[in-house]
Amino acid sequence: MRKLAERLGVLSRSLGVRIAFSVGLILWISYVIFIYLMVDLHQSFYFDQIIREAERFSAAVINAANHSMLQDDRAATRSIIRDIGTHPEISNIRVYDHEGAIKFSNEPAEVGTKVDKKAEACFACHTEDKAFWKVHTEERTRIHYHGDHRVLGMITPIYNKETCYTASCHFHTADQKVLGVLDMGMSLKSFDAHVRSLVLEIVLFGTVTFIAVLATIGVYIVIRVHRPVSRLRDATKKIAAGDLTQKVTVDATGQLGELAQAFNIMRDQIRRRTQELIRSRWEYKNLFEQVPCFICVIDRNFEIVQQNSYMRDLFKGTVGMKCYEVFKKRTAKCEDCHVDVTFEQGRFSGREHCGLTVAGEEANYSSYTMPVVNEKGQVLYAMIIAVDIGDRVRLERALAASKDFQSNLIENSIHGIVATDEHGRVNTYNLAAEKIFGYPARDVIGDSDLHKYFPKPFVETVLASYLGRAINEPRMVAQETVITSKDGETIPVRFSGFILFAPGKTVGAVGFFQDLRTFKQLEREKQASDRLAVVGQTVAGLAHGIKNILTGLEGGVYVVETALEDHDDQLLQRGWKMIHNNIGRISVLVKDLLGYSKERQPEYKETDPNLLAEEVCALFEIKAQEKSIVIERDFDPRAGKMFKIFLDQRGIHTCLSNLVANAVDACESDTAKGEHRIIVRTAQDQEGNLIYEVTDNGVGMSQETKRRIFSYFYSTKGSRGTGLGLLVTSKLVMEHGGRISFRSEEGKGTTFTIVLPPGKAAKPELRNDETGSEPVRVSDNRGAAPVEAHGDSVGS
Amino acid sequence: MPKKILIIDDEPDVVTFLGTLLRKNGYQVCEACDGVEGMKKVLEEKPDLVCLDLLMPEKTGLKMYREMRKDEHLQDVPVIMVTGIEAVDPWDFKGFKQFIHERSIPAPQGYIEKPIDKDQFLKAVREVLGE
Repeated sequence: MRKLAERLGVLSRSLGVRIAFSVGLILWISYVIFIYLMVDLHQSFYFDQIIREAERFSAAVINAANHSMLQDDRAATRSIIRDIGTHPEISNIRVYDHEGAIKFSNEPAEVGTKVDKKAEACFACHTEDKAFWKVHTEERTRIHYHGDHRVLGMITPIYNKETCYTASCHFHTADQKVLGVLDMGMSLKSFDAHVRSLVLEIVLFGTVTFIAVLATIGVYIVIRVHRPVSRLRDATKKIAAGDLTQKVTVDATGQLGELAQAFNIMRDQIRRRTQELIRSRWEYKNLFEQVPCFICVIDRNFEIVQQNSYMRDLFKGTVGMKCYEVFKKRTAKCEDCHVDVTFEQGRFSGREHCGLTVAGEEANYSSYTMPVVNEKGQVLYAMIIAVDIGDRVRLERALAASKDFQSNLIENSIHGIVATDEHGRVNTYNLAAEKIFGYPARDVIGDSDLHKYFPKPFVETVLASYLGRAINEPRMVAQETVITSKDGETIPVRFSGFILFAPGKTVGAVGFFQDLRTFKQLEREKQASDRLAVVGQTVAGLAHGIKNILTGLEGGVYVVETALEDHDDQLLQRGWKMIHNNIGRISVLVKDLLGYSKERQPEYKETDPNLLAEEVCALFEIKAQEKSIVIERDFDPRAGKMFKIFLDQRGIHTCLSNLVANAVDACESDTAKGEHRIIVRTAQDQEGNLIYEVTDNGVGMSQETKRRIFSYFYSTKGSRGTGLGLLVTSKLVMEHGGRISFRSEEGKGTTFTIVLPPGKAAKPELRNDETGSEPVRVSDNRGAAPVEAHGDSVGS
Repeated sequence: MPKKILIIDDEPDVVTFLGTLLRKNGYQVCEACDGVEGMKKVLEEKPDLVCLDLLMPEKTGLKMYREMRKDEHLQDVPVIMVTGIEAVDPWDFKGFKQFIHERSIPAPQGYIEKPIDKDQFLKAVREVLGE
């Protein structure tokens, strides 16, 4: 019920319903007036017709009775009146004489009665004291009821005519104007019935068209007004509630369509403005919070009203605290307060401050104050924006400290440091430099004649920087050189020099000099101690080898003794061979040891690396052929041509011989493959390093063997190897400053690679060994040994 | 009937020496130079004792020993291990002992270290053969 009431309330407020109601009301009133007028018009028209008809009829009756009257034939007149009175439309008909007596009537009983002139029917003509004369037709009619229906009464005067007062009866005189009246009553029954049906039809038609028109208007209003207006209302409500996504779709054209369009435009505008507002609010808030300055707003009592996170974090102040409490942990206003200016004069002010953070640390900041005014221009608040200049202050201090630190560092460095400015004048010359060069700082600093004091590479570096020349390497790699001090002492130093650059130009040069006197001494001592350590290992390995040989010798002696005892010649031979073999092993072992232990300087000579490799290949050719092994040569013809190669020929010959001998053994031990080949390769890389590679397709190495091949006295060849071959090889390669590496796969084969630097021609004074002049030959005892006595020397 | 002893060693000197020594003391001797030949011989000759060198090419003494101990016909054949010097190659002997301990392989009946002492070797052989 309540719901219904609400709904009705809503409906009653609806614009559509109101329009419909107003239109309906106006329409209804118009209809009512229209119907009323229509009915009235019709009624008047028909009534007039009836009156005219009654008039004509009355005239006709008078005319009809005229003759009989002139004849004074009363019977005929009576008959005429009676006949007319029988007509159903005629309610009564009577003729009055001048005195108001009824002379003729359709009701015979009435004849002879008299009516008062003052009676209602007579009054129209016979007003008091006024003689009857002509009256209007309308005034001669009257309506009265006869039974259940209305009757139209009409009085028609019968005027005196010449024929009348000249008639033979002489009843009427000539001075009479009106002889009598005809009073006729016409029944209005059928007329009333007709008018009623007419009214009914008009009302019915009116009502139906009213309803139809109202319904059409109502539907139109619902579609064209109510719905679009409802939509607009709903959308407006949503916008009011903050929902700006709703778009109004009104397909109406005309004003409502325009309204909807305007509404949508308005909504878009509102939405855009709202978004802009939100974004700018967000931006401002972010800016306020995230800007790397601290910002706060204070009122006239210096109380903080608002502050950003940066400030909150740094000073931990809260809203409501005084600014000086927060920034400086003071209890009263600062003497040098500059916020006053802003409050009193309404303008910017600013200066640098040093505050205290919550941690008690100094906070240096540069602060600006600006007024926040209301619409009347009064300063309500002051906004303080402060930039942290702590970094700058710290940097200034750090710079000073760093400068101190650097000058200390330079002054106290154990390396000599000498630097010049862009004009080649010395501006840095530390204690260590003074100690190395022997010249006092006061002489050197400011002097530009560097040749007096410093070695050539440094002077060249300085000159390069001074003259602005680009040299290949602005940073010279550390190189060892020898300088002569003031006292004439030659001192080994490691020197590195740089040109100092500022962006776009050179600002000087610096040189570092490391005194190597102590270092060189230590190096010599280290080499000696290394050699001692090796001796220990060597002795242990040696004992092992000797023990094995001893077993063989003892066994041989026992076998020989037994053979002599038993007179067994065959056994005697075997025993003697044992002794012989083991003596041979001792010999090889001793040679290997000598080879390894001998402290000898490599003798560098210009060498054709391919010729050296060819000699080694030739040496093993016959032995390999016996065992169906092919030795292939893959020599790089350019090796030794582009860069000259300086080698210790004997040493490298030994190395290659060892590797090839090992390869032969590896092939010999391999029973799996039918064909065996050894490839000896030479090459030279772009840096001039010489590469030797020996590849075989022999047995390859197990993981265990790979791990141990460079160990002392490790051998895979039982009594045939000493366990020193590869060790000797790697020692010789190391002495050359080269490196040895290998790759091997068990069952597939092995490749050994030796990489040697090009080397340099040996200095004549270092050539202390006359064997150095010997040509490279197989005569090297190590080279021959592997081929014959014990297969090879490779210690694996 | 003299006892038959199989000597397996890659060094012919050792084989000759031990062979001579054992023959002189009345044993029958057969010889092999590596583990592969050794396995062949031990199946053919059915020796009463095997003297096995620990480190050999082809098949090491260790591998051969493990195979013997897995073979149901050979697992009861007594073995004397002849080993090199532990000082330089510590894996040899201690490693071997460790190995058989870890793999739950029964230990060989005797060990002899090189250089071989004649009397010690004969004593070990006699002990293993239960003489």
